[in-house]
Amino acid sequence: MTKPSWLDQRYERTFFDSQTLFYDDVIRLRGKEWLNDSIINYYLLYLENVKYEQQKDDLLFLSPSVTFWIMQVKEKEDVADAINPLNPTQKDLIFIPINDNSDETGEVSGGSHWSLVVYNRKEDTFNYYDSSGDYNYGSAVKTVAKIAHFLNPKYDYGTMSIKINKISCSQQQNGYDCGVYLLSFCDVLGNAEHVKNVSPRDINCLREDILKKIQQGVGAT
Amino acid sequence: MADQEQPTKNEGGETGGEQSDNHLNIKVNYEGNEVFFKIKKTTPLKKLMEIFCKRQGVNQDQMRFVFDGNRLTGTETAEQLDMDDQDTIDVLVQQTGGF
Repeated sequence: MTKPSWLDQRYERTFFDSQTLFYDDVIRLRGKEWLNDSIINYYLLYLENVKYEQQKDDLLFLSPSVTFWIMQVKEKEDVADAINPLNPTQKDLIFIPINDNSDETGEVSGGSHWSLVVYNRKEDTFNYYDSSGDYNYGSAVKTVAKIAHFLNPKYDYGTMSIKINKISCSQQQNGYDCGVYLLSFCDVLGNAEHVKNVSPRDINCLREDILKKIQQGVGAT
Repeated sequence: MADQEQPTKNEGGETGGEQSDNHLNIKVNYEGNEVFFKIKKTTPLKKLMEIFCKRQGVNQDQMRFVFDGNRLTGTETAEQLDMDDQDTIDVLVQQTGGF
């Protein structure tokens, strides 16, 4: 893992008025490191506010911290407070990052895998995209059970029986790139492209591309 | 060096009056459990962070240390942060994934 010359241990910069990145967040983009919630959130903010700014009224990218919070709170009102301010019922495509840390056992861990659920309002479908088989499917079911009602009131709050389609998508060939696949899937789906066409090369490029955006201060405030 | 950052078993209250000017007792709060550390004001907090994670058996990559609402990178010292005796550092879990 080589360190870019512009990145030092004291690096700290805030983006989109809401996400501060530190050295140990950014360095994860170099080489074979797992991505964390801060980097995921940075890129989702970039997609929402820069790349797909024209479609801002239609697309909603939930922050990993929002999904994490939703999984931690017990009361329906608390979930509503977290998600309703984002106007989810107004959006056509809602991107929901899934992490497998949200166990109800009370055991808090940082998680080991990222994947994606997308709600498509026009088709009224929940689609599941996982670069590693269906590793996070159980977490996805639990997350959707808590969120679906606030995306479309026809779904009852807390129901675990909502149909979630497993979509065939590109698979990671290693044990560290799932976060990058999650971001890549969000990117291509925002463009209505196909998730099967994401190649390992695209994934490496995306790592470098995100790093470059951070270096250039895209979205810095 | 190494013995400066030993966690101290301390149930609050008395911190053993012999505390010198160079040292502080700092609480580290993790999921409601408090662990006390006696630290040197001029030692980067990185060391405390490492020892804490080791003792708790948690992966340091997954932890964030926060003081007064600011995340610590580990390069800071208690002196730079104007920490007082008995101040609290909060430890939060961050979400990661790769597999």
